[in-house]
Amino acid sequence: MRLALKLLAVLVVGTALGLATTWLSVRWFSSSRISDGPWKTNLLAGSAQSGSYWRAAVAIHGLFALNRSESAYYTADTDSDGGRLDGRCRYEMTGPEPQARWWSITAYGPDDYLIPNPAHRYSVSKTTVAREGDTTIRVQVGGEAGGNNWIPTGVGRFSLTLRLYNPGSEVVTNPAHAALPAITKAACT
Amino acid sequence: MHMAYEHLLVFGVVCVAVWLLVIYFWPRIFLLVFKRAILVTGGGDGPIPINTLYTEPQALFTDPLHPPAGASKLWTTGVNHDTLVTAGWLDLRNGPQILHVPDMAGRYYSVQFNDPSKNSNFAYVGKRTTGTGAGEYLVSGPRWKGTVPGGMTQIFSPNNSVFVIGRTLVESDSDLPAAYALTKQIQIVPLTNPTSNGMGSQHLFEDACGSR
Repeated sequence: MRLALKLLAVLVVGTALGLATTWLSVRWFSSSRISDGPWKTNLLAGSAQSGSYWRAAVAIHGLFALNRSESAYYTADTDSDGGRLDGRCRYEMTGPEPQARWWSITAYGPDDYLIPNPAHRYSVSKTTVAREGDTTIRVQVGGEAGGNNWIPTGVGRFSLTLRLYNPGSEVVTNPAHAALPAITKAACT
Repeated sequence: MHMAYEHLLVFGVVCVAVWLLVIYFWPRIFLLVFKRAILVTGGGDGPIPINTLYTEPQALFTDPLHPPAGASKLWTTGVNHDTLVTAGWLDLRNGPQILHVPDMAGRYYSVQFNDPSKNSNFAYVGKRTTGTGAGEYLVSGPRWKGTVPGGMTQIFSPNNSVFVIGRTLVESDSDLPAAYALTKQIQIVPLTNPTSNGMGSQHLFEDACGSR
């Protein structure tokens, strides 16, 4: 009886440890994550790697994502100073316009859903953004209603996703050094 | 002491076994979840039959936070607010299927062909790869040996199962009806008469397209 209990304990702990180390190793292994300022992207998404290990990693990081030449995805959950993006603050996103056939920047809540708001605004895009000069964008993220260049964020934590459809060559060849807008905290309530 | 070594051995074996099982089954479970979202749950109008394409309704694009009752959560989790989505699951065991795309008039779009067994994209139709003119693309399975009807481009699928995902750009709210009208015309029809000289099947195909 004691032996059976001991074996059961060994089985349970072994399974738990097995699951935990698998999860950690796959995540670590697939840390093909690269940073470009506050923007992070994963080179694994949409890639056609063979082997069970790669497949598990790809499944975690974006099943059925588009290949990078078709579309590149960057996400930011911090501002350019490394502070966690917080819906109680207002941010200025400024910098060069992303290079792509079409691009958009969309806010998501902690549950990965779009953030409900009365204005039904979820993103700014190449079509809707108002530019400063030819190539510079300035977008208000969070805070009070801010017109055309405004992305509402609610009051909780949030993240931003930058999508580049048919990205420019620098994004494809040198994704860590693509010219992307900075995210600066302006004020908090 | 002897006992302790045995326990350690069992412990090690369990750890490694769990590791291998997770690595092997994880992607397959993800795959089943997606397959289920298409063929069993669907986007709100019930299951999406095999070898058909479902077009995201305009209402879901406008208000992505309130999906139709019964829609799979995969239609609304982490979705973009840029493109109307087309999705379907192909089974090529009984012959090729034909993807029909209308003249997209310069609009950005892509149709992605994915081999679900490897999660690898093996072909794209769309602005970047094939342009935005109208076209017919014959998607054939690995064992199909037939004649491709005239005017069609063949897409060789490495697998008889194919996951198809289309994305059509919606530039702004006022652009939505135009984008939807085009997206709705991205359709899949079977190659009805693979032994004909091409004219026959082409004709049948156009009938099938016209009735939509």
